[in-house]
Amino acid sequence: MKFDYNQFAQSLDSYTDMDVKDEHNGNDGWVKWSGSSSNSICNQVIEYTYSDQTSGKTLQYRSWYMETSTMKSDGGMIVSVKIDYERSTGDDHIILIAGYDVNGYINFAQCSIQFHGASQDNLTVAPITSSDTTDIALTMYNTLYDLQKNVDYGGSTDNAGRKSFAYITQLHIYAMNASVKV
Amino acid sequence: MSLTFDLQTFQSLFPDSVSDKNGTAIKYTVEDSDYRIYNPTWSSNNTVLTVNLDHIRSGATDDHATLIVTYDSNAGIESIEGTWTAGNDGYTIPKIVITAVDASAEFLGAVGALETVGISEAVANGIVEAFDTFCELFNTLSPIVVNLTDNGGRFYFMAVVCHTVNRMNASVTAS
Repeated sequence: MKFDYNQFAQSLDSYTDMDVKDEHNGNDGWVKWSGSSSNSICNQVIEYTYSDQTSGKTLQYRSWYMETSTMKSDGGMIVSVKIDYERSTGDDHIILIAGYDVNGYINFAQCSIQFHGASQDNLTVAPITSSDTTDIALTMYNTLYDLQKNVDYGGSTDNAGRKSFAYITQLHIYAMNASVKV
Repeated sequence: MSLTFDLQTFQSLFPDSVSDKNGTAIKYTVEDSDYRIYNPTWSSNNTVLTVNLDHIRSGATDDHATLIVTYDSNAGIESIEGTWTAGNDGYTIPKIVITAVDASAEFLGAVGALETVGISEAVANGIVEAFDTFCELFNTLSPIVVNLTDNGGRFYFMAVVCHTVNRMNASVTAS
């Protein structure tokens, strides 16, 4: 089983109000992370914006080169990613994990979210599995939406940015689904 | 039946890793941080593998995790015990214990699909256990580690731990 990183970047860019930067750089937007000199293949990111139509704000994010591990006999794959919501005083982090079966179909997703300087708002979502729902990404969106809808994150930018995590996480799952190849 | 652990296979599964600590460990970069994985060691008549891991923090004490993974005779995971200590402040999370005996029904459905592609029932069961263990391990660590500090590298360490268990599992065979 393989993970197609270029497909991931293209897929993320294709969704409404999403724009991956440097998408025509020959690497579909994957760039070496400027904050480190490491030559590891994992020292790459895609930077992108989400234009929130409700607030009128354009919000900035970064996703790191996905880490994958496969099950014995290529019988499945786990994909994980750290997503940074770029804030002026310190980034928030989402860790998203998804599992894929031997045919490359998603069988679970879960996530954990850390809010910079606001640990009382931290969230974890227990595994959502293919026996719970036919659309794990949508169920993740709904779960996060419900957890966040009544939270006031302070400023209007943080309220727009942090409450977009449901959409951003949902799209990451769809883009990962498109990128796991058997 | 006896179990074999292939160290070379295990280490090759970490992307762009380099040898570290005089060959007793490897180091790799992922998701904006560096991690060290020590060579796992057998105990209890080759049924238990212990692995130590560090989240490398420059100019500070590393975060440490130790995992003790017990295998059944088919090289499937039977249970995991883990300890976790955050560097500097020394905060240790309560010992975690995960057992794979109650593999969740949702993954058991995958056994049939695995067998249709020619994977034996024993290996298929092991794969289902691996999915289940990964989920449960992350789900156990997540609510604790998320609150340890808002440092991305310390936070992502829990995913490194889960991938390490998965890579160990892929490197253990029964013969």
